[in-house]
Amino acid sequence: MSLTIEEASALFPWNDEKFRADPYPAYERARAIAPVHRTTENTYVVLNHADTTHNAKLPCMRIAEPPSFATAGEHPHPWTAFDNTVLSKDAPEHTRMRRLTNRWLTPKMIGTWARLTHDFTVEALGRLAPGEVVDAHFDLGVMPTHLTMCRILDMPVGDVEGMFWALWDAMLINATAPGEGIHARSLAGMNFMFAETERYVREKQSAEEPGNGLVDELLAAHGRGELTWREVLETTVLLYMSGGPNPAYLIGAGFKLFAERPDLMAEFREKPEIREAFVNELARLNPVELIITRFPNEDIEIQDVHIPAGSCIKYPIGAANRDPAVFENPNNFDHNRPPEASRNLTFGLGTHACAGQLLARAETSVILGLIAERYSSVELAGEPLEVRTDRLVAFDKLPVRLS
Amino acid sequence: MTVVHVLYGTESGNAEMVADDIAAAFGDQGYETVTAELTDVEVSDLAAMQIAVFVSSTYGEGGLPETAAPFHDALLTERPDLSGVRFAAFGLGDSIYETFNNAIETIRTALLELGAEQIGTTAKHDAASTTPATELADAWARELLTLMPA
Ligand SMILES: Cc1cc2nc3c(=O)[nH]c(=O)nc-3n(C[C@H](O)[C@H](O)[C@H](O)COP(=O)(O)O)c2cc1C
Repeated sequence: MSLTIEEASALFPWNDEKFRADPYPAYERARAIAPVHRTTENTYVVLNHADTTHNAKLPCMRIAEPPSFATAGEHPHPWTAFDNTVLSKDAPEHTRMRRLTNRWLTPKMIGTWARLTHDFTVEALGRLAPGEVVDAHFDLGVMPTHLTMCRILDMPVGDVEGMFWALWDAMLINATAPGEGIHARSLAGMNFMFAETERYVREKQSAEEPGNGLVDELLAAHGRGELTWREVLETTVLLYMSGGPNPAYLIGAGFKLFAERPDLMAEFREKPEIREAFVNELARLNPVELIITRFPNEDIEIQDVHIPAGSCIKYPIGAANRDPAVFENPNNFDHNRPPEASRNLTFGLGTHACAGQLLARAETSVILGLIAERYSSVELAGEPLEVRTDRLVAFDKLPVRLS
Repeated sequence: MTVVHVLYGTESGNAEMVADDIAAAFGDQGYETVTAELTDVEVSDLAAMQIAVFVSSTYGEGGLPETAAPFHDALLTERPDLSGVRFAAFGLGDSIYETFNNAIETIRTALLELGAEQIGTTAKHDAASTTPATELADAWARELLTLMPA
């Protein structure tokens, strides 16, 4: 059955509050009609896990938006601020930029960093009075992971809350149809993050003794003429900003799950050997970034749909992550899925897969492990509050009581 | 006693992890092992190694990791006689790339050309598979152990 562009577009009401809060039924309906939909003249949506994993990482799937997609009148696009990072580069430049961080995020180093996360979490828990309500998202998700990233980078803690919301604002522009006033708000958020970060990086640059973090390594490379100032700054902002907010959503989702399913909390406590699979399943059901967007630079075909070079392809992560062809009872939490039916796209895939995913997974495991070991229950002390666009989700508040 | 040198080139540490696993497997069987990143290995030292296990990922577009490239360049320019050297090869890659596991092939080709003899099969870990690299490394090392001279 072949839909018109209007009919296909109506399947994905990107700006609808209900769709944003729970896009999964809409994905299922759309998938039942066809695995690939053309939703505008030059936009396609791919729903199946197999099609997504195969196609999204093909070398022809460029991450850089072709100029034809620029919206007239609103310049500059706030995200051009990251033009000199892995986010916007394709190979071979991408390879060069990715190498800047590789050494800091090896499986071996992750062990060191996760021990820091452990210590920061122990300190935060130590400050809680018995029965005190705590914001599990900010105090136990954002803070310990942000502090860990600060140590990796050797950066000061800074205005964590200010930066969190500046990032949120900056990300708003990436919604499919951002709406009135978002451009200015996004640009303001971006400028705030860059100004704050640049101030700290300049301070490090003029310090008598260099520090021992990743940023010091970037500064040294800049000193040798191997990196431009923009490359140093943009990569620093990217890491400094993503250390807390992204894992925090996963961690928050873990707290919610522990509150809803004490049996799973007990299992997490008693069986350390399941933790890796548990965190992976948590990631499958709770992606933070919700859509992978790519622009093929060659004509390609997905499920007999011809997609011309220069189109925009949206791969909704939630659709692939809950494809019933791969995941039995896709909406259920089940950490015992076999390995071949547990691979999800929450951390992306291929060349552009999240460079910090090992760290995020380890941090989540450490924090949830501490909670499960030290407490017998997690109780929600109020409705969890989320903020959402069709591209991104974050917790605003997640009040819990630990006992 | 035979000393087993485990030499690795890596970008993000997976090959390093595999090198450690292989060294541990040999260590468990009583072998003396030396693990080193290829940046710390002199090509001129290679000829004196009886057994060298090479571990390398592939990066960029079929390229060698940054830490393996200078070693490979030096092999090609210095052209040491490796006829007394026996080596094994373990690659890491991702089958989505057309250049799947190119780097370990590049290294193998150079070693064979210089007279070294390969023992065992070339392992090619695929990041797109569901097998953890550690698991493949253990299985492959066990297999390799059966081929070691007494
Ligand atoms: C930017 C990038 C480029 C890659 N290019 C290739 C490639 O050309 N061929 C291949 O087989 N694997 C490629 N891979 C996959 C890696 O070889 C694989 O993830 C491996 O496990 C990394 O090991 P390492 O951490 O030791 O570097 C690439 C990975 C990244 C992140």
